Amino acid sequence: MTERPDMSVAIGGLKLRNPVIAASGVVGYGVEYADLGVLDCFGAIVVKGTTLAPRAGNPPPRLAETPSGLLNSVGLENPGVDAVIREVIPRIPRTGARIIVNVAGATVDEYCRVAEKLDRVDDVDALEINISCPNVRTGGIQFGTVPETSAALVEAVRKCTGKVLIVKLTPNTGSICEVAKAVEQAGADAVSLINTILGMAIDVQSRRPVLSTVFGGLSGPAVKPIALRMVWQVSNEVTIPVVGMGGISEANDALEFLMAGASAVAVGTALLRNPRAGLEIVRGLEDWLVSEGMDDIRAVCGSAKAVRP
Amino acid sequence: MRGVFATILQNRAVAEDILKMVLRGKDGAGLAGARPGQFLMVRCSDTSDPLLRRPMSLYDVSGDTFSIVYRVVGAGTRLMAKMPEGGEVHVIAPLGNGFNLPPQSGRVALVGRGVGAAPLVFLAKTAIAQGKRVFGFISATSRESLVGVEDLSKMGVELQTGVDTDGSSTELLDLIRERHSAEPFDYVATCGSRRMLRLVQDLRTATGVPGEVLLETRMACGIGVCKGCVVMTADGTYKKVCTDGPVFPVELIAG
Ligand SMILES: Cc1cc2nc3c(=O)[nH]c(=O)nc-3n(C[C@H](O)[C@H](O)[C@H](O)COP(=O)(O)OP(=O)(O)OC[C@H]3O[C@@H](n4cnc5c(N)ncnc54)[C@H](O)[C@@H]3O)c2cc1C
Ligand SMILES: Cc1cc2nc3c(=O)[nH]c(=O)nc-3n(C[C@H](O)[C@H](O)[C@H](O)COP(=O)(O)O)c2cc1C
Ligand code: FES
Repeated sequence: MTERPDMSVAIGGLKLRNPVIAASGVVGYGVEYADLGVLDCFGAIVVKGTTLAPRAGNPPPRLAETPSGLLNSVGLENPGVDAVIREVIPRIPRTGARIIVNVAGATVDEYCRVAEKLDRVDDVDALEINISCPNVRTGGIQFGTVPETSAALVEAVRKCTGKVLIVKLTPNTGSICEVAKAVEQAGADAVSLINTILGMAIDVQSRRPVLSTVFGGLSGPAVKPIALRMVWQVSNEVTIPVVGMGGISEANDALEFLMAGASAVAVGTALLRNPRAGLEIVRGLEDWLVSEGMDDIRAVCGSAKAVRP
Repeated sequence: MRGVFATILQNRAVAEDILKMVLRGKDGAGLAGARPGQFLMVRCSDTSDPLLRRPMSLYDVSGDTFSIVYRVVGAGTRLMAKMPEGGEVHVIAPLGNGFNLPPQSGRVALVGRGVGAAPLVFLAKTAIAQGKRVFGFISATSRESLVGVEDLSKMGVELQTGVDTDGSSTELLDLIRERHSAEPFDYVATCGSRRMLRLVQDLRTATGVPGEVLLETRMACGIGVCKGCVVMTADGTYKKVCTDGPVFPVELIAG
């Protein structure tokens, strides 16, 4: 057998066996995909946005399909951090994928209390602080759009946990680079981007918005060029690792994000249409490295930025 | 539950704007054990538009083949209608919880409208195999768009059909009430119409006959992860149609 390339990457202090992560909100709690046998490929899986108290989420309809995209307004439906710790995390199949919990809240205090509780759970390898959910009115969105409030939040959460802290950025701001720099200063170990882009759809028959919340978050291939541009920009501005996502469906998309400066990538919406997407991307990346005669995935990171001779 | 590529053995019109697609899994394993009311998520393009799979109820499962009956309503089903026989689709199946025929029931009523009759055909087949007497009440906007009536009557279902454009189904609903008061059904299943659901709920309230409804909402994953498909239930909580349903006791659903 020929030597396989080294696929491992590090996000802050967290070592992943490969750079492909299952994005928050699209793998549920990881148990559901286990039946389809497609979970054990990932470097990490990110558990759905978790809040202090249970949240019922938004009224239906919560989904609208758009050209190559998906609008959702699920709104952080989750059973609350205590139930997640008690019932969900122990059930996640341990396949070698790291477990990252996506944390959301309405106030600094709420984020801190969730982080404190998760800090005590051994099975949780890292926290992804969601300062960017577009679907909760009081949600992190105000934090995530303004550099100063983002920094204050991250600084406070940093004090509550020794776990690796990834901060998830929203594209729904004119200043994503400023927010990224601010959270780096405040102690983030990494940033991940992008969360969904605010959008809407109208049912012309009923002359009403399709989503009950009028606006929802757009994901899927439709957002990829925007996400890629933001990953490129943000990775120019920070020295901490960047986790890139937004419309990644195949190995080639993942390569684009890595070349743009991401150290790892996450796959969300693509898993809905193709549960094997994670597996195919991991294999595709390996095959690509082999075909290029490369032995380390880390050499791809930011390679599109190299000055050409 | 598994994901599998399936060969299209047949894809033909069976009513106005309604087609039947017969499939055989490429792994040859069939869908043994699948129950009426369960569904599959079908993907029929390699491109990202349409992006999502479409949920479709099982119309029949037989040996190593299984079928769906679908109405062409938008981009996804238009694409399905164009798929050639001999071509392939990818399905995840079987999904969700099926109907729960009470073992002791002898008289079963199936109340469906339009393509909502599709899952009831598989249910009828199962009920008849269990030796139950099955009564079908099927309506549609026109004779040409009635679904499943031929298959139902071939199976020996005692069938009543109704045609109305506004969804009122008044005569059919009256008939169900009459039949039930003459000799009660001991289980009623429904799909495809709010008015029919309300009737089954009324029967349940008035006479205690258990009723179940198959609900359809927009879905993205079909396996319980995205939380996109919820309905509000009578106990004030959201339930996922894909994994808590799609079949629910009628008293749990707002009429
Ligand atoms: C569990 C389940 C079982 C189903 N079984 C069948 C079946 O056996 N046969 C069948 O023909 N259909 C069935 N459906 C409905 C079917 O999935 C939709 O008609 C299909 O997804 C429409 O896809 P499209 O791309 O053609 O239309 P789209 O372009 O997605 O939609 C066309 C129109 O239909 C509306 N619409 C689409 N999906 C839904 C929905 N779920 N609820 C309400 N409105 C909707 C849209 O708003 C739009 O106006 C089922 C749905 C579920 C959830
Ligand atoms: C149904 C759904 C639910 C989501 N829930 C969350 C969430 O709870 N927390 C979060 O940070 N991001 C959430 N996201 C955003 C994704 O994690 C990801 O950032 C985004 O969808 C872009 O990637 P994609 O195009 O690969 O899906 C959700 C996305 C979808 C489609
Ligand atoms: S369709 Fe995703 S949870 Fe039901």
